[in-house]
Amino acid sequence: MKLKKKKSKRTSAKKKSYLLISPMGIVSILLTCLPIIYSFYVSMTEYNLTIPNSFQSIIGLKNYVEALQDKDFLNAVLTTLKIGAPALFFEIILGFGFALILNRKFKGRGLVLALMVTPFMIAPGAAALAWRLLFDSRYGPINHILSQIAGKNIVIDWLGAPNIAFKSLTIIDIWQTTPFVMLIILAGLSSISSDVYEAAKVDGASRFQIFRDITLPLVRPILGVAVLFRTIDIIKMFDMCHALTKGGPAGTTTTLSYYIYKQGLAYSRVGYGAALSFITLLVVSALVAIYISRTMKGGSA
Amino acid sequence: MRKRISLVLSLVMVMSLTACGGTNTAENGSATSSAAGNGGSKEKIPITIEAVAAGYGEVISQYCDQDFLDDLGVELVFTYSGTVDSYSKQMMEFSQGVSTYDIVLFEPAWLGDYADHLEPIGPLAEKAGADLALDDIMEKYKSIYTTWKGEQLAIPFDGDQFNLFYNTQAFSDEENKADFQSEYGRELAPPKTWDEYAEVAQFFNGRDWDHDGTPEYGTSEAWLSGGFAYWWYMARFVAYGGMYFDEDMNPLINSENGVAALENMLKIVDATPPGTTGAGYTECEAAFVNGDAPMCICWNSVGKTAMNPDASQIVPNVGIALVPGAEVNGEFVQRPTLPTGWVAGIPKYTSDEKKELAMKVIEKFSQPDTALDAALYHPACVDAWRTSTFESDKWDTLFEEQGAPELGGQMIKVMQETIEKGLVDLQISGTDEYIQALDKEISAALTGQKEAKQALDDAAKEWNNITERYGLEEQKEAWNMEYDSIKKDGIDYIPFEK
Repeated sequence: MKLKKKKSKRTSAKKKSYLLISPMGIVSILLTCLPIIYSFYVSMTEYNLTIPNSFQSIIGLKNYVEALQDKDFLNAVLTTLKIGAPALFFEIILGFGFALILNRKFKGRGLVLALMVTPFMIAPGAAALAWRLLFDSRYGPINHILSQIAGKNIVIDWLGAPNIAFKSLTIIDIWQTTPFVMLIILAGLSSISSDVYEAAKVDGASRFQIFRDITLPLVRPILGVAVLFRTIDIIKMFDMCHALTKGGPAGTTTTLSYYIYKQGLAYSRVGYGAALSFITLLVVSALVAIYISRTMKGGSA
Repeated sequence: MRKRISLVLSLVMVMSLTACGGTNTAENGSATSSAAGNGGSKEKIPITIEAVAAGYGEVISQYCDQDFLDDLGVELVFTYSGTVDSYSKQMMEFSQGVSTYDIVLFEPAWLGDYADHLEPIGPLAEKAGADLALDDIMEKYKSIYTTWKGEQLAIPFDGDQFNLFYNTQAFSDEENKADFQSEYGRELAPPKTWDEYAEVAQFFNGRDWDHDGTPEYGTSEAWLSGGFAYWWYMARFVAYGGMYFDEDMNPLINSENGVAALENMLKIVDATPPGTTGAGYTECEAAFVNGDAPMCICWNSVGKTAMNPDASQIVPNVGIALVPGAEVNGEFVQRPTLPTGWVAGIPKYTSDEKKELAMKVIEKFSQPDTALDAALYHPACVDAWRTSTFESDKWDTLFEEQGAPELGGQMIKVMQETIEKGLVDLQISGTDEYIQALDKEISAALTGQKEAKQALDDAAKEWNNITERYGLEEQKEAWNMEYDSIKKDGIDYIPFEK
């Protein structure tokens, strides 16, 4: 009898807790799901801001079919990869390196950390302006420094040459986002107990062995989080493209997000833009699902 | 089960992140500010103005003084969304039948899209008792840039146009003159045709034409993606007798006129400063006012900056001329362009009370004396659009202090001739999409990725796709309405004779 009473008390407490969190839960679901449902509806319409009543004109999957046949969309995907893949690679390598350095105790560590995080804290618009000046072919300090080093006049068209402009965006992305990766990895590194390292040292492990057999495996899950966040960010890459190159020259820096923005807002094709967004969303969701399922497998192993 | 819940929660989080990301970033550029009268305790009625850029907001604030705002009982609230975002924000609201803005500044090129959403100016001005001095507006700005289907829907605010600026020192230098004469067999002078322009640019390029010990460039233009390459191509295309479409809506951009225009552009690629394919207005202006290029084709404001001792190194050596013309079928054609420009309108969706107040605000900042003052002195470089502004003798003394007593008079003469002879922008639905499609292909040709003809053919194909999307008949009707106005203005397509 007592057990039954205890059980019913526990059930009612559980019910209460669900009741208490339900307003927040409902608001969260509404805030997340309603815009997505609305966007999905829009993606099935011919909605164009300049065409009256086009919001009501449902065309089924026509926008999706057009998107899959759209060469410029495919080019935008490739451009995003061209800019983002090297950026991600270097951000992980550099972020890891800096995190390892900053994980040690040394004089002025706080100051170095604060300085290193600065690029990440600068608003993208302000950063773009600064980089526009740095990359200026005639008056920019980068070409000037390169000329000084080479001892001859070097003029690189950082933002106007099709084979260079996308690399410039990669450089900016590395500069701005490496601190973010570094912070995530640093958080992972600082959570590793020093006992583990001391035990390894007692066992006579070399520095490389400690890194390979202790640091790397223990940091791997958080590294995965960093890669996931950055992948999502790269897919959303927009600011620098908008502020520096406007997707040019000749569309060579038109990233996926910028292309969607142009179609959906600049060209008023809201329905088509929504369809492009949904395709992107599916790809991102697939990546996240793969990541989560792998992490979970790793965790249970 | 927990794994599934985690998976679903993570997916939902990621979905919300990706779905909302683009919009947030796009809105980063916008800003707001307000100007209100401080007299009296009566609550002010806010009049929200989408002014695109802070400079334009300052012009309006300056001329709508405190006393005026107090008397009217309004406060002005400004939003600045930038060129591209202001269009999409306004259209997003208009398409839903609402408007946050009581006054919108917009490009005449968007008039086709905005027409259904704006209040006709005439009846509203009458109702509000506002005198807009409509007879004092340059005909082209009145009948084409602010009028749609016979109804005036806006008032000009900034009358943009392209001019040719040149460094008078470079053109009057004896050594330069002698060398040019021996190389080209004619006198060195500001170019009158695009062919001459290319020659002069090539002559000056790599030459130390100002004898400062450093070789300079030939000319300055801006070909940044997103519209700039388009404007500089159009300046040539129109001069070569080109036209956007024929009566049946077939694009003419890939005609022989178009190829000639793009090939002329290609001739000067090496004569422009490095980075021109990524250069916008600022870089274009800087090359000229810093004395790195002896010529510059750009919006009129470059001339005023070039004569500002705080911003320019070439004061007072500034000359102005019409953008070059071209020899077409043995005849000289002088046909400049009037790119962009800004006009002010009142959305239909504003309340009746606010519409009248907004009209009084427009009346205040568009009066002939304020339009003249802004065109002459305001640092935002608002260009002339009223007939009386062109007739003012204040231009004759504008640059007297800087040591160029004749430049002001020359400037206003060139501006007037440019408006009289100039071709207006395309104004049909989807104009920006047509611009971007062509801009991208021009950029491909300028960066050596495509041949001129191939690039223009590809652009024409894309123009047909855009037309099809907006509806051939609807676009044809809108275009022919504009084309008729253009023809009435004495401008028509001139096909190259075989």
